[in-house]
Amino acid sequence: MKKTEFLTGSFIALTLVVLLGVFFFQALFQPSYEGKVMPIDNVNLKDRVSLHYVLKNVNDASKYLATNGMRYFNNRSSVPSKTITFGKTKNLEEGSANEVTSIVVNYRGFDTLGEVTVLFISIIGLTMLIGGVKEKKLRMPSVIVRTGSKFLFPFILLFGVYIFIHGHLTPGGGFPGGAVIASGFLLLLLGLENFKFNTTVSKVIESLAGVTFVGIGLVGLFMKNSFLANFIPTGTIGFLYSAGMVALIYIVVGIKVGAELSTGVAELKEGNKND
Amino acid sequence: MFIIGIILITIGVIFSTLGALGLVRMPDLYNRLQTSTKATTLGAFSTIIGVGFLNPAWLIKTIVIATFILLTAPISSHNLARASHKWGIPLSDKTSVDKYDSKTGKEE
Repeated sequence: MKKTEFLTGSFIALTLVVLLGVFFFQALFQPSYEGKVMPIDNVNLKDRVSLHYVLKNVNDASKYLATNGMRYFNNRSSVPSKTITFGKTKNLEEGSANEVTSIVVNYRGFDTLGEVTVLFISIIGLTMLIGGVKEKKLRMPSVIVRTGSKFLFPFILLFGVYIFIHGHLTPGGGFPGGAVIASGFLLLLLGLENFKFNTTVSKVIESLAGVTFVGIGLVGLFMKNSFLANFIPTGTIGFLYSAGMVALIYIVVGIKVGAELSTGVAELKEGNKND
Repeated sequence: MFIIGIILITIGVIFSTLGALGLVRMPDLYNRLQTSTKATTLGAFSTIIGVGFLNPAWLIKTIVIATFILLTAPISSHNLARASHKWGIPLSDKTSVDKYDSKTGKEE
């Protein structure tokens, strides 16, 4: 392939990814209402999956839209908004729109720390046992696969980041997001014959993310007298700036799982260099 | 908008049905791969875009999803066909020419 073609392709992919990123993360630029009850007038919750989670039930959401849908367009203040405070509110899981996330990270935060550790140890064991593929078995990929994997990789990365940043709003979270990121790196490892994955950098990123997880827990211990307590105001449910610590921990978990699985996949191909 | 969406979804359903029929009827792997790829690309593509037309608030998202399917599905089926040809999976008896074969045709 000529070099200019590749540059044009990369430029188009980069532009599209930036546009999609602005589209996905436009919620970042909306003002936050942390710790206040505010009428929802900037975000159209009707268009979001979060509405089903705000109302805790898909059927309720459908009924709600059927009865209040038109009224919502008229006065724009009928979607219920709640403020959740740690230690005062009875139902703590209402802090995040996605109930599963609030249970996994809020109630069972320590358990999630254990899960991340289990994944880490299992990846180490896997790469030690069956790491390294014999080079004869790998054929050179065709031009279509090479071009396609180069073009698709940034989109897959963006999608993974989107999943774990919106973990407290929609289904998903740190583990699926990390797996999607690792699948992007797997595509590059299989699609480009001379792609070298820097396992040292990914190991450093992974360790830093793990340390950050424990650090957030320790901050909770100092401020709220219990490990992994939610020390950030939870804000208005359904917004990107809500659920307090849950969002932070899922971002950290996503980075950690992504780096971990990518390292595992790369070492399965190239073998563990520390042997 | 509603009628356009219904028409697109109907096209998608028809193509998906034909793809499923082709999976049963076609003689060998390569023909089956061709029918199933047609079903995924055009069937899924027009169904998703049709859903976007039924609910215009989702149109941008559905276009993004459809574009992603349009980019990935042909690449994956191309690679499947190439890998199975290199692995030596036999062609159907009715196949008359194999341009990808290293003896009769030109290898890439």
